[in-house]
Amino acid sequence: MNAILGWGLFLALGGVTVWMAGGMLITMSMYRAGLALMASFVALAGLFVLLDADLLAAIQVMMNIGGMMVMMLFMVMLMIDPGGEMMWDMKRKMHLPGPGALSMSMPRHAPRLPVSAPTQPAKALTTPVAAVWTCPMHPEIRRDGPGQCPICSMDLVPAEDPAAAAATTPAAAVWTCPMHPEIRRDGPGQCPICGMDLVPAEDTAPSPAADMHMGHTEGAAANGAAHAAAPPAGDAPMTALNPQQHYEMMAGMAMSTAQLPWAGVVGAGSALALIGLILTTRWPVVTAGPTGDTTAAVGNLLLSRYMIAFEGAAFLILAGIAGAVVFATRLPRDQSVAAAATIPAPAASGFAAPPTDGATAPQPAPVWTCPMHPAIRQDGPGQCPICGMDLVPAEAAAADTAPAHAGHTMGGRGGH
Amino acid sequence: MGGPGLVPYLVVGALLFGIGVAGVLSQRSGVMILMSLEIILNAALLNVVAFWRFVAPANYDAQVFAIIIVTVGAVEMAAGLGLMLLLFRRRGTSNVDAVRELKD
Repeated sequence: MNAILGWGLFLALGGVTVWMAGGMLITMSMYRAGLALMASFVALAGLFVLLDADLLAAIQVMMNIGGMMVMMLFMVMLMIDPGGEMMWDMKRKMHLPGPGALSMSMPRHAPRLPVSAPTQPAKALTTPVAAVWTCPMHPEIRRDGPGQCPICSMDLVPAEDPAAAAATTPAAAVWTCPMHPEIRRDGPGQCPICGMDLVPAEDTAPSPAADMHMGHTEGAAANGAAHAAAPPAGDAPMTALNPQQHYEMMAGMAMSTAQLPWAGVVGAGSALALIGLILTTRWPVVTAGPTGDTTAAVGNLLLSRYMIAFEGAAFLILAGIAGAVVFATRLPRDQSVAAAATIPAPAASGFAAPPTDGATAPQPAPVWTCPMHPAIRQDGPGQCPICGMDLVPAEAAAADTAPAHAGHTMGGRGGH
Repeated sequence: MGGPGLVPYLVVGALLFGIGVAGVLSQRSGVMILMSLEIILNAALLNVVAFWRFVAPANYDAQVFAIIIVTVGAVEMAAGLGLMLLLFRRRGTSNVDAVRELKD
């Protein structure tokens, strides 16, 4: 009877430990991942109780659950979509397969574009003098010959080739966010609201609610009404995705890389190898259990001999958190702009331009504002004091004096 | 005293280790990589406690060692999250693939 109870408890707790650890890797949001890891921690503490290590179980619950709570605080502070509701909604609207709680999977390959596929080799034959080749997904990769991208292993395309440029940016003068159609920019990049990669908009005509777009020199007034007047994300941009847009969106939202199957193979292989070793080894197991008051003995040992180690650990924790806060707040303004420009949104025609051009281009806007809080207005770049987002140039003054500045076709880097 | 012996606990530890390795290799976000590292630490922890219980139950140093592993996990979480927060404030992302160089 005692043995049956022990086995039952072990199977339940061990199952929860392993199941929750695995669920952490495939759930769609980091918040759920944190909760799953917490459940795994608690079940592991239950295993410690089964192993007569009560004090260790208590410490495991206290320290790790406390740490996870701090981590959840970080997530809620930092992430736009910590609960995964937005992703869940997208999966539902796009009728993606699989349970709703699972993360989107990273697509393995970019889609083949039916229009450009026949023309691209012909172009390569007729114009073999393409000096610079670049990756469709990573425009910062620039080689002087064809090959594969060192990051994603995609085939490189000629950078100067207009057909290739059209293939990677299918006739897009305006890029928009799949979730926030009011975001309209003249080049690829990331949505300032949700951080997703922008996709080419189907309609190049600016919508009436285009007040929110930040990259235009002809942008309308970015006033307080712009945010309120933005239309809700409808179904139209969700269902009208072409394969390229679909690929970009899946790649932007997936929580794991495309190497997830290989990682799974390596993980399963290492686990199986370990289990094989465990089963074939003769362990020197003793029959006697722990004698006496284990908790008191461990506590005495801890206090008498090892306390200095924990003092040092606590100091490290303090130093880590304090260092992050101090360095983050002391960041100079110019440096933050340069840092923001190191993840540049390459312009629609930016493949031909040298990459350093956009990264160091000054942004001559007199007034900077927050995409989410239009009331924040500063005379220089920086971060929003409310939400911490990078400020963007406000075009309220420029719109009246210089309309129709052809910001679309020039693909100007300066707006971003 | 019945119940499972040493080997079932070690098997659970091996499974946890495999899951942690897969997570470290596959995740995009630095925070998720840290969480997968925690799973690997948990596997080591379970092994230490199981060996203490079934091989050397009279020596409590093993439990102190296990407590130190828990502390290492907490330090890793605090320092790693501090790094990730700093990275996020500077780069606007916690995606490790987006960071090619640490210095600006």
